[in-house]
Formats: sequence, C-alpha cells, structure tokens
Amino acid sequence: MARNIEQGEETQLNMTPMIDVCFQLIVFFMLTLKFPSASSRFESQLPKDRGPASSPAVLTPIQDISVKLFRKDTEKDKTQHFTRVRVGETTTVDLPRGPWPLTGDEEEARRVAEDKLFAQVTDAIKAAWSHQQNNPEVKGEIKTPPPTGQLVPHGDVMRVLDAFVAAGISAVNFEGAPPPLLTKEGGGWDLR
Amino acid sequence: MAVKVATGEDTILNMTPMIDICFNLVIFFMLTLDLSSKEYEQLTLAFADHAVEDKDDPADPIASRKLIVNVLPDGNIVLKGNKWNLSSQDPKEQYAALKALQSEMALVTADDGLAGVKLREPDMASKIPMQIHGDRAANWRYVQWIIATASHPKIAMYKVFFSVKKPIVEDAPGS
Repeated sequence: MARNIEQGEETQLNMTPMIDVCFQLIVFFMLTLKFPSASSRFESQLPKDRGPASSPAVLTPIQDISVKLFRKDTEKDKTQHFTRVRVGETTTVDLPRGPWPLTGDEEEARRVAEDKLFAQVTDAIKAAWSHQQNNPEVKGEIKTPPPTGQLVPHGDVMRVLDAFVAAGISAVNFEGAPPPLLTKEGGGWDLR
Repeated sequence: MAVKVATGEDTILNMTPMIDICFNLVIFFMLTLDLSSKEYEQLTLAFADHAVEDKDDPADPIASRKLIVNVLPDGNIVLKGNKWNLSSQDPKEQYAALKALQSEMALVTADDGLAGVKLREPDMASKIPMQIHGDRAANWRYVQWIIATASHPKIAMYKVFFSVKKPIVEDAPGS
C-alpha cells in the first residue's frame, strides 16, 4: 500500500530541550573551569638516613650551610608577628610584620619587599658556599628550632628553600621538632 | 504617520548560529576540563621563583597514585576530601589526624595494585610521591609532622613535592 506523504510542509524540529541541555553543560563546565595558573612545585627527596627512626648519621668534615628561622614577637598581636631568618652566624634578615595581605596590590607590594630581603639571604648563602669553594657536596639546612621556629609560616620556609635553589644548592635538609608522642588515650604514636 | 505592523505572521528566529556557538563552547570547556585538580584545596600558596612546573605525566601509573596532603592555614589537613584537625589541642583528635595520615600513606604505598609496576625501590623506598599542598600561612610544624610521618622507614615515602606558585612578573615597557 503506498503511503501518502505530504509535500510542501516543513518539519519543525523542537530545539528547546537541546538548547537547554547545551546551556546546562556550558554552566557545568564554566563552574568547573580552572585556568592553568602559575602553579609550580619543588620536587624533593627526603634523606633516608634521617627521620624519626633513622640510622646514625655519618659525620663528614664538610660544614653544611644552615639557615635558621624564628617567629618573633608572638606574645604580641598577630599583626606584629614576624619571621627572623639567620644565615649562619653572620646575616640576619627580618621579614615584614603581620600576615600576608590578601588584596592584589598590597600582596604584590609585600612580595616585592620580600624579594629584596630574600635576595640578601641568597647572597649570604652564596657567600657561605664560596667559602667552601662551591663544593657540590655541601648541603643546605633549614632549621626551625622549637619553640618559636615551629610557628614560622610554611610560606617563609618555602622562600628560604627557593633562596637555596637560587644560590645553586639543591640538597637541603629540614631540621626541627619531631611530631608529638601520642597514644589513643593521649600518647604513643604507632610508628615510634 | 501611523506605522503598519504586520500581525498574524510568525517571526522565525534562526537558531543555527547560537547552537553552533553553544557547541563550540561545550567542546572548549570539555577540552580544558582538568579533573586532576579536584583533590587540591583552594589555598594561597607561597611564592617561589625557582620551582618547576607542577605537571605529572598522565600516563605514568606511579604519578597517578600521588598522595596529596592539603595543609590549611589553621592547621587542618585534608586527605582525599576528609578533613582532620592536626592543630587540635585535644590529644585524641590530634592522634586521629596523625593516624589517618599514616593509614593513607600506608595505603598508597602498599605494593598491591599495579600489575607489572614495582612501587618500591630495591632499598624498599616507595616510588609514590607525596605532594604537600600547603597554605603559606600554615604553621611549618604541621608540614614537618607530615614529612616525619612519610620518612618513617615503615612508610619510606621519600619523594616529596611542595606546591608553590611562581610570581607573574609583567615585563617592563621597552624591555
């Protein structure tokens, strides 16, 4: 039986649901969009002869370059806290007081100010290294002695690490306080 | 003078260009979608000029098992979406945080999963890296505790990455 097909009439496709779905997809992707930022990382290898249950360290005649960090004026208001960076026994650099500003211009001003201070740290590390004829076996040491060293912000330690890398020393150890001894009742960490 | 307005005629809107644009947008967003960043918390990272680009090889099975430890400014840590209070004054709560950290490290370094891929070096050091994604305002001591946990011989997670950001420096005019 032949079908009667009407000719001359246009078939109207209802596009509304498809456009709805498209918009939903666009909104979803826009909300999950993350533009590639300037995110970077330091890739480090922890020393295997250190740590909570390490083998005894081997003493060498080489003197490592140590940088100590302290958090000062912690008894005062938070806006007065600052980090003191000491390279060896000679160079001391005090970072700006207070927490990092969050707004763009102030944050940039703080970064520029800290860049200048950390350039001094880098120079001091370079000078200490040159005293040892730039021996490649010389390592860096970032020390945060308790109690005030433990309160130093993570960002300041990363900047000191950056200063070591800028000076050409990429082997850097961290030295500070071990984690607290804990048990389920308030002591005894299983791994210790 | 009166303007004649035609009535009774349907105005047909040509939807084709808009649908084209929609499809293009969908394709763009699909291609730029980065699901790997979902484990990272939104934190203010420290500035560092000499760090390397934070990029893993997606085909590398070891890099894909990387443990991401977020350290928030208040001392809380976030592991796989779960928050633990490392800075708590309550020793039990602090214990729970360290225990969770330790368990997660033991889990990712366990030599069980990947067929044909050795997850440990001959000296039993784990090949799985850990990335410490810490806020610049977080106390260093919490990062130290995390490092100490990772470096314990029973876990032996010696490869540690620190998230930082490179400052965006605008070129001076004429340079």
